[in-house]
Amino acid sequence: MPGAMSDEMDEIVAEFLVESVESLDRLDRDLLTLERDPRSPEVLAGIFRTMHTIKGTCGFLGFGRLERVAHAAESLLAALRDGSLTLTPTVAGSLLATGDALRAMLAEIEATGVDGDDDHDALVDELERLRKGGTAEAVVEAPAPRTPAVVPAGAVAPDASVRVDVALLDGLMTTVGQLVLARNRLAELVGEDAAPELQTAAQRMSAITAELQRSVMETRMQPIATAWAKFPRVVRDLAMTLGKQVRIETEGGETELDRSIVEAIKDPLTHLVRNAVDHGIETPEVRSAAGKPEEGVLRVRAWHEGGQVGIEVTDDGDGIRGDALLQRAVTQGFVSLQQARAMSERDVLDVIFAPGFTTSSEVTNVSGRGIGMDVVKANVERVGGSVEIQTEPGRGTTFKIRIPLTLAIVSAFLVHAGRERYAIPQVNLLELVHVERGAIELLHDAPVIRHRGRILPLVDLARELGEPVVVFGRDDAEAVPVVVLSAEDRRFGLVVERVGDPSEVVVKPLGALLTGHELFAGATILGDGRVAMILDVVGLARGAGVSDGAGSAPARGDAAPQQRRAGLLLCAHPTGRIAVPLRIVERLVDRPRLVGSLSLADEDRFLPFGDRSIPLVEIGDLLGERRAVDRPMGGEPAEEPRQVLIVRDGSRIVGVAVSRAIDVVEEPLELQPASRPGVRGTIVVDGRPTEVLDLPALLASHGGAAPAVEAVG
Amino acid sequence: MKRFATFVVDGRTLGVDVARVREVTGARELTPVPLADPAIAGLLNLRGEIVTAIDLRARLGLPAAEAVADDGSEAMHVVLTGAEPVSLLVDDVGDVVEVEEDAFELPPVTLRGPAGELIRGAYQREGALLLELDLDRALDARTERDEVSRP
Repeated sequence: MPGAMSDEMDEIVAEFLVESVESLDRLDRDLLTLERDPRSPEVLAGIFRTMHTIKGTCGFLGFGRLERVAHAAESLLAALRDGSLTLTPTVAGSLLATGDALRAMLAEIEATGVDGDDDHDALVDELERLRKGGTAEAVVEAPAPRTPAVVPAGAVAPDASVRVDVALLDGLMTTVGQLVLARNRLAELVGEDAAPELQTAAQRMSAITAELQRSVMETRMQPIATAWAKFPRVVRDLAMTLGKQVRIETEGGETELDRSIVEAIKDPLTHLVRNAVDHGIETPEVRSAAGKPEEGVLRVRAWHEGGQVGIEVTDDGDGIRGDALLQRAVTQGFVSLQQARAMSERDVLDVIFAPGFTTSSEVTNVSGRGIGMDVVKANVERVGGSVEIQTEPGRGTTFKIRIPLTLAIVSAFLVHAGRERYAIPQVNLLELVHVERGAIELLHDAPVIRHRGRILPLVDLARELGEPVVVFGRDDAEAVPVVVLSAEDRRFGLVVERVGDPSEVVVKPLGALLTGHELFAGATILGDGRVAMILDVVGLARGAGVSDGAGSAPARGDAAPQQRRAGLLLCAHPTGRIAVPLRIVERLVDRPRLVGSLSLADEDRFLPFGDRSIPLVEIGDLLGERRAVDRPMGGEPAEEPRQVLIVRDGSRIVGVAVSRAIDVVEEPLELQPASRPGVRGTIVVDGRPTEVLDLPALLASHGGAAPAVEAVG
Repeated sequence: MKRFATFVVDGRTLGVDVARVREVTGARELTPVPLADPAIAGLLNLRGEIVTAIDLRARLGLPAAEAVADDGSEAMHVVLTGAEPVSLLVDDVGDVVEVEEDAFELPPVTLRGPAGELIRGAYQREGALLLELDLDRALDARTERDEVSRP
């Protein structure tokens, strides 16, 4: 029969395969839930139903071997369900093994069209033996309450979704990408002098395009739980092999990401989880000797953070001992003794990411083959993310990953170098500053500036690109624009000729002919139809030697890094000092060019931001202070704020005018109580009281709730 | 019978299997890729698609062309079929020609350096020589200049 399969049959089989693989993943999760709560009738009923469906369908499709295995498992499940048998680790193990056998057979069907030649006799016998209670683990407890054979109707939600081929979604995304490009081109052609009707129409089209883009991107969103669905199983099996007890807890599984990113981080995350069980968490004996509970806990957590997603893999194991790590790095020849002496705590931990480095003295089948952490890092960085380690000896280790929500369309801004323009992803941008030539110093022959209390190394973009024109060499330039970027947690200033506008760019990967080119992350088509290269900030930093140079790191406090708090951006405003969470500040712009009237009514004030205009508000107005028109703002005319914080709160983008940004400080654990609404509390920095603002609440009460795109019309 | 799409590079007539050619287009603005292989002419926007242009002169080790040739003609792009959009930057584009398979000869011994490596063979045609370009080698970034040094 399978040999003469009609097209229709092929389709049915293909659907069966997809559905069965999904069901088996669910089966794994349910079984692990059941291990903790062996009496749950709902979970048992769910497992039984899954197995029953697989058995029924493969019987219909003529996959006899598959059917036989599923049937044996179903019979065992029936015994569990009617209470004549309780779930023991052995029973759970054999059911999990059934899942694996079924998966193998499904893979066989996908590859060859038939369910293989393995009858899985041993497994079927085992299932049969367990069903008959053929172990010492006979039921001694009172029989479990009988599970209703029919699942309550409420358990099955009405089907409000459809299954869509991924290729179709990818195609849709490409088309929307082209629409965004066409929209950008149109916006450029319409310009500022066009007839008002044309401008309105173009703005309308722009808003609709943005909406469509958002919707399409949403359809591609997948909860991150799909990437870690298999973790409970991985942890269980690995812990058993190693004789360890590990409980996995997950949080934030509903956090959504573009499916290509979910796909890309699946392997790195799995690797981190395996590593945590293998190297992090100790054996029960060691743990109890150290006064810890025998069962180790592995926490996997995800959450949204600005336009990014943060993921943490935390274990409560033994942590990473910096000195032992360093010693191993020296013996394995990754660092010289001389280098080792100069390394900061963070540099030492980064050794873990060196290619070929291993902390295992023996090669096990789990890890220790010297591949892994460098691959983890590379894979995360490939999708524009970063990895950092926090560890506390004896207490545990946390790996924190930050990745963008989506890859296909990103916020970027343009810089000029030579005759070309280059796009830099917004996520790497900290701020834009103008640096007077006199402020550039040489430190070990490398140009640096002092910026917000730190030494910031400068990188000349033109020089890195091999362009003949080097900005430093030009005598006519009095001040140079410097883009402050962060890469792998290190900061540097990129000297460019000119900074252009921010815009949404559609990222196109570079072809095979250009792969391995570290400086570029891709290419994009700009509004005028020309192609621009997208800079890979990590590659750029590496190429310029910033990431490796010890001089790039500021004098970091020796406080324990594991408790580092979110940063606050300290700003001056006419009536005092304020601080806002750095997390919501997308960027900082100097001396903005205002659009609309310069009247003092806030609703008329807009700031051009890329291809849209965003509302501009004053800190004083947010706080309900009386505006002092005659009070100079940092020496500038009152209606010209010197710097504007671009604040993103959900989908809303607002410009908040301040006199100037002063520094980034770490958020203290405790705030002194607030003195007025909209203020979370007060801290003292440099001997001056500083109000920590609850900016999202202030903006919400201020009523700037309209999405930025509509604010233009 | 084989059908070749032909084009001219530095006065020579080259051809590739016509099935490998998607379209031919005139000169376009190229965005250079700094620090890339010299044979990468740059990237161009072909109706919303980003195409990698290969400078066939550079690839064949021939002298660079003037931006606009003496006769006023500009470089043309031969866009190839395949998963990855690639174009060959050539001096001019010729006709599609048919040749007899048995007219095939090995490349002339006078072809040296990269040119010799990238030419699969030649066809005598009405007194002129049509050189068949080995596309797979021409597009393989790994067959690089180490072959230039061969005798």
